[in-house]
Amino acid sequence: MAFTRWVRSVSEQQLLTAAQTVVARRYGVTPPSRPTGVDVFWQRVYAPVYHRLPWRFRAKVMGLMPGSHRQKWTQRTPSRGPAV
Amino acid sequence: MPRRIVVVGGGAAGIGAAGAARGTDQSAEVIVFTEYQDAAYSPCGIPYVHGGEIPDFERLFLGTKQQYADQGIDIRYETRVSSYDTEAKTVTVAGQAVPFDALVVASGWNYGKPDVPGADLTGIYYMKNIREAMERDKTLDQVKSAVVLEAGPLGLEMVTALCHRGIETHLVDPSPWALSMATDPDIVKPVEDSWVEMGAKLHFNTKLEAILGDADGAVRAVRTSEGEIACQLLVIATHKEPNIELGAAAGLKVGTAGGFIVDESMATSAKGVWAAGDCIEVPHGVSNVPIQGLSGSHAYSQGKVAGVNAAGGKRTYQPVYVPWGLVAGKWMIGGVSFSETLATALGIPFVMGVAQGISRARYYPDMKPVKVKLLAEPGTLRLIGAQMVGGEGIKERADFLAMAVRTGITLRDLATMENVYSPPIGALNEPIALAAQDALSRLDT
Repeated sequence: MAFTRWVRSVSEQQLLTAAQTVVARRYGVTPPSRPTGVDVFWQRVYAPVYHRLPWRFRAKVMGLMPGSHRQKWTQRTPSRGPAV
Repeated sequence: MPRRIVVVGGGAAGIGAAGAARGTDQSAEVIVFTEYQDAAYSPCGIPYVHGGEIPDFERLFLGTKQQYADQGIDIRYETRVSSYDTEAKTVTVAGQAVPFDALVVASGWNYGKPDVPGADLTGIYYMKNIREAMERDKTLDQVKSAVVLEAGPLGLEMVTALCHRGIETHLVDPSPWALSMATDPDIVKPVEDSWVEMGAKLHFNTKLEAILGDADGAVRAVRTSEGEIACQLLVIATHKEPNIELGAAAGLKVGTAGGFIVDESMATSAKGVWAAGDCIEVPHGVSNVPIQGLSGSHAYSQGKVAGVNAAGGKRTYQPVYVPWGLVAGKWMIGGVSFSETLATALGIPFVMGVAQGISRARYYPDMKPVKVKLLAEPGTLRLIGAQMVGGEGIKERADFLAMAVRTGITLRDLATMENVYSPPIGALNEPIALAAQDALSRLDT
């Protein structure tokens, strides 16, 4: 597995777990199990630091990762005003 | 010399590509290689045959082998491609180089294999190939207890199907609720409750530790972080891993989602090579983050784009917003783009509205509840996601809301939307409008 893919995969899973904890609390349901081992770092250090960074910065970093989003994709602009 | 277009893979993307290529260039020689005995069937229908809603597997085939031959599509069944050479423009089949002018890679996906002891025992069902499904189905009546591993879309369908079949069904998932990547706990709760009513046993926050076998090498139980569960069948419904081995070895570039990197024409990083379906990644229309492992309809559409372009035509694909929906337990559940959980995970700010509506006039027989949750960007109030659970009309609302996200429709637009009112098919108040009105009222307070 390429390094960037590994980073994304682990980061995605850990951020999801952190979000499930928040959302579970909001709805009064059972949260994910408490982190153990290396997950403690991801949950107590990585996830809070990620969320403190501004979204624009995070989006820029994600945009710099290799992927299809860096190829040509033309978004069509919706038409405005009456059709006739 | 006619153009030779080689397609690797006989699933939705591969068959879509072959048909579109043939339609674009009638003189082209179109060859499809598939390692399976069949092509062009609907694997998504398999759970419903197991569950008894569909009477037989034959109905899942989209066309006969003769129909494809009559269309001029040369499908080589049970034929494995062992390598691609994008420089020499050949694929290797049974040790022979087969030249091509254009190649479409539609190599699909594989289940993420559980990394636990016992993963090679018999009685482990990776539901994908229709022939294996036919054989499994014959033995299901002897199965007393089954475990479904992970509550992704296929897992949800299989739990429901096995309950319908009268099998004691256990769902084992390391997450705290079902479909936790795409949904929130309040949306999926009716589904989970209905599974319990149907006799299923739900084991969330539970990790698989080992698969235990009997003296004959067949599954007898699974060991989990919460104890042992006896079973004769283990259904693996883990995430889709893109099947990129041959393409990556041939130098096709792979992105962070694990699929081949493509552009809007489905062109890969190699000249004259296109790719489509579950082996590629495409950008999400809201976040621009590339994603992988979408639905059969996405794969088929991407295949058609790849096929047209491989045959010398011109067609483009769009970033995706991913409307989804399925029947789980006694409910329909669906949505588009971001859930509250996913937006929270990525740290995307949102405002939200929720409403409980009904599917038909309140007095009309078989009226069903429909719960809608909408997420929108603060400030502009453009829709960025939705989730729904209800008795009917979920698919149509998910499709509509996907177009709403794609075209930048706002909560204000939805709060004032017009809706069909006709007692048998639509209520006075549209649940989507009610959810948008709820979001606006929260902003006003």
